[in-house]
Amino acid sequence: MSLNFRSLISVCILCSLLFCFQSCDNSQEPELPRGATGFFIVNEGGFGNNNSSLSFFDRGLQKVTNNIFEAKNARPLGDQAQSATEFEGRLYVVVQNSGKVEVINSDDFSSVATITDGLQSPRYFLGVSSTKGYVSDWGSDGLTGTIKVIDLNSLKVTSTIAVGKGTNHMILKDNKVYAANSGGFGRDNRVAIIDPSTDKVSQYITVGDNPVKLQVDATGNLWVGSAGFLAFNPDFSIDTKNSTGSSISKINSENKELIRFSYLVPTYGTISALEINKGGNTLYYIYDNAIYSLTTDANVVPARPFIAKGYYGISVDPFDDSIIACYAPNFSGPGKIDIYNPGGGLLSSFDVGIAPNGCAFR
Amino acid sequence: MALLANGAFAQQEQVADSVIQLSEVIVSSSRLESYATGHFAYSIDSTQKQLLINGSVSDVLRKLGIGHFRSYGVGGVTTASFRGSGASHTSVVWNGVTLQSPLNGQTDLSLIPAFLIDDITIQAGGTVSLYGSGAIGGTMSLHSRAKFNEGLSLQSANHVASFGNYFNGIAAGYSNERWCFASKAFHISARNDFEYRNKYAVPSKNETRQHNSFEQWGILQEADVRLNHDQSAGIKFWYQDNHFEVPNSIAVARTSQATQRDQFYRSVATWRLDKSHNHFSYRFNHVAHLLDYRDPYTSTSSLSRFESFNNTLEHVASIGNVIEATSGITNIHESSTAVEIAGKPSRNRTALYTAWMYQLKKLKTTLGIREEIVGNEFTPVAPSLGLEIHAGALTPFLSVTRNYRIPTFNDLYWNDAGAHGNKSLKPELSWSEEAGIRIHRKFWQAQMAAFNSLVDNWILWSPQGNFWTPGNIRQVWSRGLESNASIQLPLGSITSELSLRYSYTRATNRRVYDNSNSELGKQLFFTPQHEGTAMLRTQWRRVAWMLNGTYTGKQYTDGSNNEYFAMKPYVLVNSWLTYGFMHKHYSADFTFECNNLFGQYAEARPGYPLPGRNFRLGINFRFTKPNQK
Repeated sequence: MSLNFRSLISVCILCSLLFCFQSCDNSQEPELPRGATGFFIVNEGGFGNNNSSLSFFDRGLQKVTNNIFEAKNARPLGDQAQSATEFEGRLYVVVQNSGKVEVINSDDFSSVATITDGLQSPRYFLGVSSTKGYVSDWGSDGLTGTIKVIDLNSLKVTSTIAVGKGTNHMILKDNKVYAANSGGFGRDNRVAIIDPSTDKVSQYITVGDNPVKLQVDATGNLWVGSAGFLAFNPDFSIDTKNSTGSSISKINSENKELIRFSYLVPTYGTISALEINKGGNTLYYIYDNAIYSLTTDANVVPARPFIAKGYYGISVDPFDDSIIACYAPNFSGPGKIDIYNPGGGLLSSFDVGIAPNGCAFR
Repeated sequence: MALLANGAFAQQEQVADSVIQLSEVIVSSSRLESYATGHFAYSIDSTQKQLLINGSVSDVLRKLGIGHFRSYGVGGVTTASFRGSGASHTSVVWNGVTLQSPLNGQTDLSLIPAFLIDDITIQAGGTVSLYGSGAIGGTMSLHSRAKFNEGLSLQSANHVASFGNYFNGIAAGYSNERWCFASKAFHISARNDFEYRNKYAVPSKNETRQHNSFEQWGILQEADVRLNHDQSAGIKFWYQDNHFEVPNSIAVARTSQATQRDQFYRSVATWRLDKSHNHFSYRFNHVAHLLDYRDPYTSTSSLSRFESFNNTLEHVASIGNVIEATSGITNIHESSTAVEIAGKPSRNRTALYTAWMYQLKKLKTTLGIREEIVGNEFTPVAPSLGLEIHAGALTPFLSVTRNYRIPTFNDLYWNDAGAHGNKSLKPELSWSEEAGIRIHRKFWQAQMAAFNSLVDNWILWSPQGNFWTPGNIRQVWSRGLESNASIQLPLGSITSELSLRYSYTRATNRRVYDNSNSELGKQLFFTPQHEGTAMLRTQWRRVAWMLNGTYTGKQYTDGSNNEYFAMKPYVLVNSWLTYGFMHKHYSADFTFECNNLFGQYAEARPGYPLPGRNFRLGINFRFTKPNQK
């Protein structure tokens, strides 16, 4: 054995290299803006990558804190956070692909509960009363849309209401719950009206194909943003004959459709959001790679976009009517929120999590 | 295949064999590897491979801690990444046949069973001048070797492992002075229904992996003939059928229903003329691959097919005893059909290449250059320079190469409701430099290299308007260090060897040409900075024992290096015990393997767990009857 000193030293160096490269873990917990006035940003994450997250925008400090859920609760939020809704001191984060609703304390972001029972592909939460909440669900096939009734005391699912295909956004108006059947992976054209005292569908309103989002204006009209239905030719061009364009319906208190703003030529970029300002007289929506605004007394769809830039989601801040536009340059790295004033001027931008799709206000 | 009972460390012998018996062995591919001067290289010796004969080539390399692999777990698409390179930056060459898919530029290593491959050579660093488009991060050469005058051999391998994993392989070979035939067939099936702790569930709970099985079978047929004293020819035919269940992340509520089927034919025919100073060879190969991916949940049914024909004419000249020059022309015609690709795109690629090796006393110099025409467009010229100085036990080396990768059919022509290809993409282009040293002493050897590589026009897909589309949107800078060392520790009748490997890889976005500035300067995701392996092999008479631990450093999983999404570092320890047995024409060895000895929880990527402790029992049996000489 001819091991000389030099060889031994070389081997030792290599050994030490091999076992000493445990990199330092510098993940420190960010300072959480407890109780601050601001809003949550839902970062959807990359589909299948378990990297959904929540960010918080502190209005006073004009500062975004990312990963507030992970920082507080030391576990990942899940896969594909679809929406979040603040209700009576709690934030209900609907994590679609993980089939769950994470309930956290709105002030300190600590986990209150995780609702999983029976949830397949949940989309939105709606607080119906202080003891009852609804969660819309596309079902395991993306077609069998239901609403899961949640007891807000036990935070358990108590019953299921069959609603239609791809039950999506819900809104409470005149003690009735309106639920948009977005079609899910298929086609539907109805908004369901549910009586929360019986948890039964009492009526359907027919609107444009695949309604996704609902708003109520200052005069009590219901507004429905419908994506339309796209059929494709074998080359994936739009089969215009069998497709319908996006549309927006205005429905009065008698549940009668007053007007339907229709895009006659279907496009790939269908209506994907419908928001309203705090005065309840201006709607904002994303269509064909731009943001449009529509006043509630309009008779025709706007010819030109309000902001000619493609965003993944928008929200309107009920505090100051600023438009928060969520930008996703990709689905593997950070997105941004661009904050615009009601005149469409860019005020500020902040880095947020992966693929931000909307905000929740408290 | 060297049997363990014949000595566990047969590597040197094997190498010596193939040098001495060069006239006896026909290497049906070209010998371009020998021109890869000035690069860090890994070799997998036959005993190591023999131990891991039941899995894929990526299983072998992963267990031995060589290179970095990206996958979604056991089975399913696995791609290699050397030095922080992307999934389509490793050139995989089987007997001279490029296996990268023209659709996505990748080679799925889970589709290459170790049983069908005689030897594996891996070389880190770019060598497009020798191997063509895509060899930006490294090259993996897989060979079968035809040995003449060996007589009859029969081999069987039967293995059973945890989670319903069964491997069965048979091989038969016959060769005389003129002919050499070899046939191999295998079948693998695995349920992979292992238990894991689901930390994504609240509260965390034990679960069994669902929808994670696979089945593969294939045959390889080889025939070689010496036509006369200076001419030889050979054919190989490889068919394989592979079914995979594609599981969901464990953070996903639904059980996946997605499946993937890969079915392929690969054939190659060669002819050689060996004169004393001139060698000519011609190679024709044909590859056809069918990929059928279905996911009932999203109503996806994606059927794609690609096919390529390749003709290569090569000439090797020895000039004096100091220069060897290889020059060749190669033409590839590749085409594909896919639901998402309009028409049937095809392209014709013709490349001229030459590589010169000049050995002057202690200095070995190689120069290579390749120019390729794709359709009617010239790719960037790809030159390479390598230097090695053989100074006793020390061999310092250096190389500089320019490399490129042409866009794939998917990049160019994809067209569906959500994504559009981009016909104006430019090739990715890189410069790579490397300097290192090899030390070869009687009882120990070591190799260390520092590398630097800048890949510009890196192609990535991102959402643009209503569609996803690819663009040349990154410039990536990779630099780092690779090292390995081994030391033999003979102790009476016990021989032992300790091997260590370590690599440091810093691969960052040096420029971003789109709107993702927050990714600037950040480490590429799924690219650990630190990786290492320690391996101990001990042989006592007919018993061999091997223990190894592989360390995979922290991996970021997003573009901004978010610590919350980072995958923790982990160490996997594997151990093998083998008993070899020989009697007259018969030999057998029995292997017991334990993987993940300490049941470490590890993930291939977030939500895709690797199995905990698992076992394998295998018997390899061999009958050989040499020709009467």
